[in-house]
Amino acid sequence: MPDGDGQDPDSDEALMLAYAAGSLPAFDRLYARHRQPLFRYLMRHTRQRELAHDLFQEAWGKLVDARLRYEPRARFQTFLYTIAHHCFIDHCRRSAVRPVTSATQADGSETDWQGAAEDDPAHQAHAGEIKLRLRAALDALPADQRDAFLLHEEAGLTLEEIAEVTGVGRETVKSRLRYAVAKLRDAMQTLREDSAS
Amino acid sequence: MTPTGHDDEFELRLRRGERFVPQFDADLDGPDDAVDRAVLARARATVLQPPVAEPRYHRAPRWTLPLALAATVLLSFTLVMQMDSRDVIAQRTAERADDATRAADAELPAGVAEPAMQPEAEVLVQPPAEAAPMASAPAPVASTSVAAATAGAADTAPRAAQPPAPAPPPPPVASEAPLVDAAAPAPAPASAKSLAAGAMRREAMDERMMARAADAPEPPEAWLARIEALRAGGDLAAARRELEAFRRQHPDTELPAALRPLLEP
Repeated sequence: MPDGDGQDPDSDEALMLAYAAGSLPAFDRLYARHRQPLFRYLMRHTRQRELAHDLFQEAWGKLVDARLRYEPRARFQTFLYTIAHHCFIDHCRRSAVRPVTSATQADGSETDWQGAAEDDPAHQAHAGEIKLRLRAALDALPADQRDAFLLHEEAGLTLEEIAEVTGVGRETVKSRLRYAVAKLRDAMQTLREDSAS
Repeated sequence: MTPTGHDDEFELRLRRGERFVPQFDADLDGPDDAVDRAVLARARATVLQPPVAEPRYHRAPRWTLPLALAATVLLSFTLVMQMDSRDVIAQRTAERADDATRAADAELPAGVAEPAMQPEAEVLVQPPAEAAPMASAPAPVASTSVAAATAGAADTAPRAAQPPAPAPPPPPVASEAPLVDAAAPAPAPASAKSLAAGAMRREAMDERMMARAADAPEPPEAWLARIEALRAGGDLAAARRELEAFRRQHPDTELPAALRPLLEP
């Protein structure tokens, strides 16, 4: 319900401002609301649970440190995922893992992350064939397309917000997202054809 | 997966904000409990701990930086220019003094050039009124500046060698300008002569100070000891000469017995 200022006191932005003012319950609600999508976003990027945990903690730590500088000029998700995106990019730079861009991916089908490990076997055992195909297709996406797709699917960001997080134009984000969805669609279509035959 | 069969469906889902792969929601677990506790603990610790007072540094407004730089450059430039101008002035002054000295020497006859230094040096100890009779100019001229008086003194020798010129007719109206003109017909040469006279005056002062230092009275004991040394060295003539001088200088001093025979004829 909006308060006197026209802002919902339970909105992410209001909770972040309340936490910056010293309200711990506000942070608890904010964290409970975004912990799982943010972790999935990082997990799908890194494919390593420990590494995803490290980046997850790093992202929340930076958000905590930046609480006094937060200004609700945009949605809270944009603020949070911008931090997480930068944490992941910084990790790639530190570990010399170079994401393969769309241009370099066009002539090959190598996985995007040369240093990525195989999926956790325990997760594979519990996942269905569709999820495995989806995950494989997602891993095969170029890094920028996968990033745009994950920010849309996991974080629920709009094209404009993804453009702000990734620092590119809206039409570029839209193009990346269109290619990513098309490739995932083709992967699922192949799965259906294999199942039918 | 809910496939997007064509671009229209893609656009429609974008406008609605719908997800393209809803299955992803339950695909992965969340972070571990330990990670949750760590994140929440850090959030609590950051809020509960007292804020660390950051050291406050006095920072001047940003606009003062270019102003300070400009002022520094301007001050440095001014100092450098002033030093250069002082050097130029000193050099020009020295050149003018040399030129004036050469000009003054050229005006003087070779035979009287050396004696001309003497009255110039005496000007220092004589009041300007005493320098006036030495010059051929009328008395009022001596009441001008010291530089003019000394410049006039520099012209004294040649004028003294010549028959005294008739006194110029008194000016119709008593004013300072005609008096200066009478002492120095041309202002520029007078200035050069004054500079040269000043340089010579300084030299004369130095020589006089050195002469005074050389003529300082020797203590009687030291003088007698020196005479005794001359006598002991066998230079009896010099010892006798010095002893006679000593007697003239110190007639009441009792002479040592060893030196008395020197005074005997």
